[in-house]
Amino acid sequence: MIHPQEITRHVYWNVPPLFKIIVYVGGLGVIALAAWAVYQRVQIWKKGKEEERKEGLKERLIFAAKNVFFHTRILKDQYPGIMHLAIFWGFLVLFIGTIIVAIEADVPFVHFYYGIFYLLVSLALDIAGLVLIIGICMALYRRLKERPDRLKPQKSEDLLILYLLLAVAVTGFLTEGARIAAQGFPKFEVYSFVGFILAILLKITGLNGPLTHRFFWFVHMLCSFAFIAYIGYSKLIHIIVTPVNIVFRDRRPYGVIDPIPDMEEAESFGLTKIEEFSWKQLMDLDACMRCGRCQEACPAYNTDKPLSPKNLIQDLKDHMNERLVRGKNPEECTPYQEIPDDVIWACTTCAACMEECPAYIEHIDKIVEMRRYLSLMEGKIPEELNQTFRNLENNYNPWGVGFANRADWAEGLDIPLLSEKGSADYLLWVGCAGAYDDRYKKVLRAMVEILKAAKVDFAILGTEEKCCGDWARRLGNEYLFWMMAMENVEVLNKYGVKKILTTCPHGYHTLKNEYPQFGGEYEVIHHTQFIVRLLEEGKIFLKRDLKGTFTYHDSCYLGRHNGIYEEPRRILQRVGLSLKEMEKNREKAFCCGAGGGRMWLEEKIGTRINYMRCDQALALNPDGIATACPFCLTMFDDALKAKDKAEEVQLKDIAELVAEAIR
Amino acid sequence: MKVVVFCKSVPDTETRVRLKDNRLDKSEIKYILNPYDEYAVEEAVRMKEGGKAEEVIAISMGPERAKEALRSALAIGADRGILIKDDALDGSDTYVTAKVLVKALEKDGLEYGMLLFGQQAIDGDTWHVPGQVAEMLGLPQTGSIIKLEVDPDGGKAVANRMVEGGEEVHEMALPCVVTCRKGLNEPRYPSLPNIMKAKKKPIQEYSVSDLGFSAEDVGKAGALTEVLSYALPPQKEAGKKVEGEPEEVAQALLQYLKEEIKVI
Repeated sequence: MIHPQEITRHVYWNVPPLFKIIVYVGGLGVIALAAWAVYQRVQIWKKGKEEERKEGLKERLIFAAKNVFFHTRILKDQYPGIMHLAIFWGFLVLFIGTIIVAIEADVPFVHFYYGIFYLLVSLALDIAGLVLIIGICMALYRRLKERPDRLKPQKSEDLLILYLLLAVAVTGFLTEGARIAAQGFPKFEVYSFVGFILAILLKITGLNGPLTHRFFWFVHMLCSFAFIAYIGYSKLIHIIVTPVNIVFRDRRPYGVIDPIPDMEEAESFGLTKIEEFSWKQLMDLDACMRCGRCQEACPAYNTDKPLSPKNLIQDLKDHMNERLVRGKNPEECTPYQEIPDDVIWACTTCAACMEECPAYIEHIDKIVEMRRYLSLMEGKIPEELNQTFRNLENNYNPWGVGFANRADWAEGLDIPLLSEKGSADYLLWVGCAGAYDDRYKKVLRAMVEILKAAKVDFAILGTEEKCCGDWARRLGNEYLFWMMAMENVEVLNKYGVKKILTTCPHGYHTLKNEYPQFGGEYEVIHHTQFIVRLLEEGKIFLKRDLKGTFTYHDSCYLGRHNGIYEEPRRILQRVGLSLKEMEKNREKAFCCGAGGGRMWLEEKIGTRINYMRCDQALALNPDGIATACPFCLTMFDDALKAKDKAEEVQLKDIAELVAEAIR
Repeated sequence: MKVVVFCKSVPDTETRVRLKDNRLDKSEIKYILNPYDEYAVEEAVRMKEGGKAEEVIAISMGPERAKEALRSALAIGADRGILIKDDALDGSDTYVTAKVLVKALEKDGLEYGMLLFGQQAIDGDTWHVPGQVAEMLGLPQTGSIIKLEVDPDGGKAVANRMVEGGEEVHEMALPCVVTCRKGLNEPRYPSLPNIMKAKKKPIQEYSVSDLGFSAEDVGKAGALTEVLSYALPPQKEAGKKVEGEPEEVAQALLQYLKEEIKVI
């Protein structure tokens, strides 16, 4: 029986004093090098504008910790998720092991690395080493063999990092094996099972002397130092930056755009130079590891537009380094030299990229900042927008139909105006599509039918309502948006409106999440939420079951932006329809192509996003497609007609289906 | 060379036109810069940007709201504005308008090289004023142009105008009058800094008496024409569909043309 004190290993066994000096001097040196690099990045971020991102720090830390330790978001993509999890945990445990060894060796009078503890640590570290190697091999397989599109272009650092990490792990095992062999195979070392096996192999090959150990030990040290030194100067910096980036993420719904402060006094608008990004927006650029999940999910990229969210962030990052590290002046170097207008206009602000990004990078606000520059500073807008902006300016709707006609759709429906009624429990926000789009007017009529059946006390603003401005804001015309928002808020507040019902997810998002920026605080309810409530509280009665199989297309502004996924589905099932899901549904839903103002732009490059989405729906052979957004409805309508399927496949808004079922 | 652009504040094209007391009901109207004038402003600003004009002056006669139209011109890039505003001008016809505009140019002491107009104003649609102004000033003029080349040093301008089956090319000595239409250029969407700057650009205001007129010279009193009444165009009726065998259809159609429309 050996004494527990003897179940241990002597740290620095067989290491000459000179090597030890190298460990301390070199170790401190490379750590300082990494710290210096991080410090420099912090200095660069500080050149950005102020932005408040610290409220709720405790929840922020908890959220980030969950993402870091459990890989909640990374694991959503299985193979790379498991791969990264293996590397992360393998690395982390080995790092902790290294700290334990350092404490044992360097803290005076502390001695705890022996006995059961020693055995457990030995076992854990060997398992961790194996897990790490498995993870690295998975990564190498992906990069060398599988080569998915989203990882292109591959940079030299991508493989270098993997090889370096592999070298650290392998030489670690070899050092352990050589030590066990040179120490004559102490029995308890079987807990270091990988090392033990290697020791046997070394013995067979005759390489079991102390010199072998010393050699591997030295190589292991060099590899480890190289790795640490490289952290600050490669994408390895994400080990530090990305968790911090998650801590300071935007906790609001996706795509809430901030106003331009003091618009009437400001001299420049949007992103003229990179320092006009906030410190967090700059940090975002460093947090990107080029994993390409954003690109894989992006509807613009998938239909051959020049936009890849990954490349956009990388180009901005290169530009940041040009300007803020190498100090080029703005005349020589603007972001727009590297990022063509077509890239900037291609985005539908669907937030698929943001939903995917494991680093919680915020793409939409950056694109909107760049569009602001093009729209407001340069007037460099796609030709067709010229008229659409004027329409909004002159008639408060994108179609440019006379503003005096805004309430025409309601003629004969006996809907009270708020100006006549004074107050109502709910204000029905009609929206431009409800007021002017012939197809969508039917949805509004259906909604009115439901509200009347449920005896809801409601009213509309009539010609006092103006476009909510969603698309103008997202196309960068903050000035027009601001005018719409100010005027709408003034009218809404004049009547003391408390609760607003919308059918349009864009109006919903804008009124709910953005009008508070202008003093408009309302409870905003989307019609799918409201109808579910009416059905479940028994306020409306279904007189018949609808027949058929429908698929539901998630509107980005309802789903990803505001988390309303289940309400429309519950409604479909309640009215008797059977629901078939497209492969890309809920948070993975593929945009219809109309968000972010794309509704008003021609789609000249690549294939059409709405055709692609329509094909995904048609692949299910459904009897019908249900939507809950006027833009989605229009995009599907166009696509179905183009594919000659408009007769075969029904296209309905949720409200129309419910109205049909209660008739 | 200085270029003057004549601007008019008109109801938006989508206005629901309604009549009240034999006049246009102005209660629900959004006013804009006459779209044809935008081509003129854009062309003048391009001349300035191309180094062919040193100053662009936007001029308008109208009520207070005409300032908004001038601001739109200033946002596109005109340098300053002139507004002739007076209650006495109410009811003026095109003759009075031209007379007043000419007097205002004189009063301002402008040494203009070119006068640009929109070919028509989308409200009154008379097409009168440019010709009247040219006539009163004794200047050469051409209209509805789609291309303009100006040579200030050579003292001439060459303008292309669409005519049936082709284009006419007119060469004129400066100063001259030109009216603009769609196809000449694509008016820009003004940048926000320019919209903001436009708010600070000067607009010189003149009243009728500033120009040396009395109330009898202008408005209804000074007008040569009089509007007797306004009427909305008749509502379009739904089309008629004739169905059946070819012979029957032909018969029915003939009968319809003979008896109801009485064209045969």
